[in-house]
Amino acid sequence: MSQDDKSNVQRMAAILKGFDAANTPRRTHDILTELGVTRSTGFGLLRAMVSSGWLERFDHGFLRLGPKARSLIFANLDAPESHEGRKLAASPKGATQASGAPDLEWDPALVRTVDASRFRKPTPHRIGFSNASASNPWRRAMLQSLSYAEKIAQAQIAEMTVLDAQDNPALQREQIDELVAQGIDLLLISITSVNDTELSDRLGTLAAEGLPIIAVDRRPNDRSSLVSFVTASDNRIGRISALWLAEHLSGQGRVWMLSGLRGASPALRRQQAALAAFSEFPGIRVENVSYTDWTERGGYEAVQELLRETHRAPDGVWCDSGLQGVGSVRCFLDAGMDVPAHTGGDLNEMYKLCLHHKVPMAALDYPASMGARALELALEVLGGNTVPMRVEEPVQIVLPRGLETTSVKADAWAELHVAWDLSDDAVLSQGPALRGAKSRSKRSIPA
Amino acid sequence: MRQTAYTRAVEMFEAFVTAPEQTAHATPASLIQSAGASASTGYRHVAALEAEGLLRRDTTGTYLPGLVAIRTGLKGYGLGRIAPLVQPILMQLRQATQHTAYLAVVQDMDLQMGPHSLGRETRGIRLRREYSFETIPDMEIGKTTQVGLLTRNSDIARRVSTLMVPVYSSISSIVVIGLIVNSARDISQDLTTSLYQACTQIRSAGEMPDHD
Repeated sequence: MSQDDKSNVQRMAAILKGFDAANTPRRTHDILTELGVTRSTGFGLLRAMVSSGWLERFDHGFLRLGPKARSLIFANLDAPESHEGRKLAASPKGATQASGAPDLEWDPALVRTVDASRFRKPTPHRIGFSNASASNPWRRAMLQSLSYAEKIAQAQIAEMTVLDAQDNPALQREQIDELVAQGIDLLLISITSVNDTELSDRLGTLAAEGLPIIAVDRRPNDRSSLVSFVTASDNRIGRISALWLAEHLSGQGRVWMLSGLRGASPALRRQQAALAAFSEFPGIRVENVSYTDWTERGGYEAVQELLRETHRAPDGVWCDSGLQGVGSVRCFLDAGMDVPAHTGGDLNEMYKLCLHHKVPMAALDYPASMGARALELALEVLGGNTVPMRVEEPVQIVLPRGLETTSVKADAWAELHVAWDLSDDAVLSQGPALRGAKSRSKRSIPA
Repeated sequence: MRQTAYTRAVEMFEAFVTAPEQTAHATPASLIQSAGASASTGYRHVAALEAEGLLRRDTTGTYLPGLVAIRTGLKGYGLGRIAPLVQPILMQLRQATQHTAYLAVVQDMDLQMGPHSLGRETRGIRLRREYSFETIPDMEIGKTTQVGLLTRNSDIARRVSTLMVPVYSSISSIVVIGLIVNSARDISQDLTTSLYQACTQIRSAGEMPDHD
């Protein structure tokens, strides 16, 4: 009788994962010892796996991954298009070659890896997450995504503790110490302040003591304490959205820029990238840059103030997120004006408003699914695997039909991306976790 | 061979991990049906395989092969160290070119198609697991060439045009990355440049096995 309660399917997964990167042959004895099952069960399973090609004999008493395991490399990184036409992938418009496609934005950090074998620990693991805050819908969606991943991997996690630092660096330092005192195996962190040296030093000390640390969304300026950083390309969000706006306006017009939180690194990087893109169009005049704290109110008040000063709507409003974009759109609507072209995704309400009022828009959702990815990465680190130093969740370009420009093509159509049946504050980029929120959603009709 | 609990488990495992490549499954029920499992054990297996990273779901909930599955496949070729690089490089290559980007392993005159990201320009071209080469390709590391691939084991030979570049060579195999291209159109310089950049990135990452 087996001594654990795992199914044979789970045992197979464990056997396949037990081989190293070079497929070094392993002793049958070692495999069975690690598996923790009786000899009869273990040999029965190994024989079946060899017979079907998942494993192959290398030498007497040695096994390695076989042809069927090798065939697992055939894998689509995106979902295949559904035959029912439900899948949202955009189709080519005309016979355009992607000759005007943006240049590759290679970040060398994306292809640097870390050997995490020194952090390998037996399951189940204790993981702590020190979260900067849960103050806006995106941050709550990211947390929801992490919780979803925790449920999926519950067999590998003994305890997952999440503490909210409420954007307070001092509180975050205390909470980190509290998590460490609880004996966590790994620390996930979204930093409250990139410039807090005390916090950075504390992380450095913990890393030196052997605690693996993974940052998600926001990291300290000094990244030497981190094993890895899970994020998305702010540069891509800023550049592509600005490029779309400039091309949509045929390279001529007045633009207002609404950034997120002053001093926050994602806001700064998106803004810099957007300004660089606008500078390539001499006919585009950036009239001002405002900060909105990534809130609807911040977006509303910024536009209200600018309208009061100029008495004239701009040709386009660049927002680095729909979090403030909804405020901007609502301000124009309340003023009884035509709403100019906008950028900024993230929030379901932004899509609802723009589609309902036929506002030209381009959106690049900052993926809240990075919460789940961070936890997956944490488990890879504790499994002793080689992991990337930086993980970027893919950012889709979402456009309403008919609004593609010369160099900005849609990955998905906004009409299919929006979720009319979900609440306004739903963040569509949180991944499968979003479905859990569906039943709890509060629906609304756009103003 | 006599059916035992172990052979049944192996068959079930295979049915589940290969199901996402056949068609899009947006629910566990659809995946379970495709794998031919009963509902009672099916849900347990799907949950276990997702937890182990052999299955994953995209933002719409559609099942995909998990990153652990891809890593296991690459480990089988002794290429496990490049596993973390594959997804970011192929996704960026696809986003930049809008063409289907892939990594593949060449042994003799056969090409085993690996992880791929579907680009809108060539979305209609469905990839197969194995191809043979139409002509003997030039397999110089870092050199981009356009070649024709033929599907095997089919009454009707199908041809796929591709731009590929070898990134690593060992005694038994060559690793290539490539873009599926539309054979009716000219290859733009942008595609060649992007592919070359991706090759340079993989090679400069220093994660290729030592016996290069």
